[in-house]
Amino acid sequence: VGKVLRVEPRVEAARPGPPRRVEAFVGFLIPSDCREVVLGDLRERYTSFRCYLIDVLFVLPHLIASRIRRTSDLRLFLTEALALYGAFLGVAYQLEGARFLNHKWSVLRLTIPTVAVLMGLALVDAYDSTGVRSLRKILLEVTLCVGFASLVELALSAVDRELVLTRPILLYAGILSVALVAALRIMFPEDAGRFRGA
Amino acid sequence: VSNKSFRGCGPRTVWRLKMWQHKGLSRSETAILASIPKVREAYAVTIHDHLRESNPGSVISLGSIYFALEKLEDYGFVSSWPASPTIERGWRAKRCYGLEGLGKRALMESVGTANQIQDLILDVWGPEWAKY
Repeated sequence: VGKVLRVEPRVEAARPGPPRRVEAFVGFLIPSDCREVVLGDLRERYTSFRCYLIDVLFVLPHLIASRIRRTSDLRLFLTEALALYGAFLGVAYQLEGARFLNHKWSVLRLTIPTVAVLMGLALVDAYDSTGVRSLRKILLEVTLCVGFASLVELALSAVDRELVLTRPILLYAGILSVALVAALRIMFPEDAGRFRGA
Repeated sequence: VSNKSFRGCGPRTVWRLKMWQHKGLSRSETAILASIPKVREAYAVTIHDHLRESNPGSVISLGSIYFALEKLEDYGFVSSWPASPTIERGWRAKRCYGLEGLGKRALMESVGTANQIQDLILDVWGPEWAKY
């Protein structure tokens, strides 16, 4: 008792592994719940840097899809989709009237930001390892996703301006979306049986 | 899987099990379930290696093995536990998987369905077709 135990230093792996910075970046991309396990598996399979990158490219989409499957709630997802589409449609109609609805791309113009926000929310949920929902966190996440949708609109405006919403619509609908989605996320408590373990 | 299997399960798990009953196991899920008892230490890499060796023609990527294992774990067909890290993994933990009773039953049902289909083919088109 009281004797300091001498910890043996870990022997560095003799076999080659991926560069540390690359491994750290890959670790950043992998959802935190399965990060350690997947990084270990990828390192175990390491034969060359090229093969490692190919492994990462093929594994990452499956991991993200798997996390989305585990963390998503279909009921909440559909309600959010309806609320977001309604928010964009309502603001667009309020600001531009029937002229907006008569536009040939009106449905697509409303769908693009809605899908972008929903994708952002799905990714945020997938990368969230805590599963704890506080008002501040929800507001931050939803604002981030609306910001992501604005970036998508900005990028799309460089391709075709007819496909994007005007700035006032985007601004007011964005604010309304944050309020609606945040309210929905507070109203729908997280599924207690949701499986979050790796 | 009978309704008795749903006892003690939450509504989400019951819904998933019912969905599985409706859809059945996919080809890759069946192969993964069958390979788990054959591998000494069953985790994603060893399962992938085993599948590649046992059936070189099939292409099941490592990513789809992760996806399938998590799905099978949610159904309660397999269980997982952390195993000790090793030097070749850069001292990172691994997650091993074991086949559960529910998984064995699902596998047997899957094999039973495959046998029924084979019998049907034999009945309808004769033994020559069964070779293919």
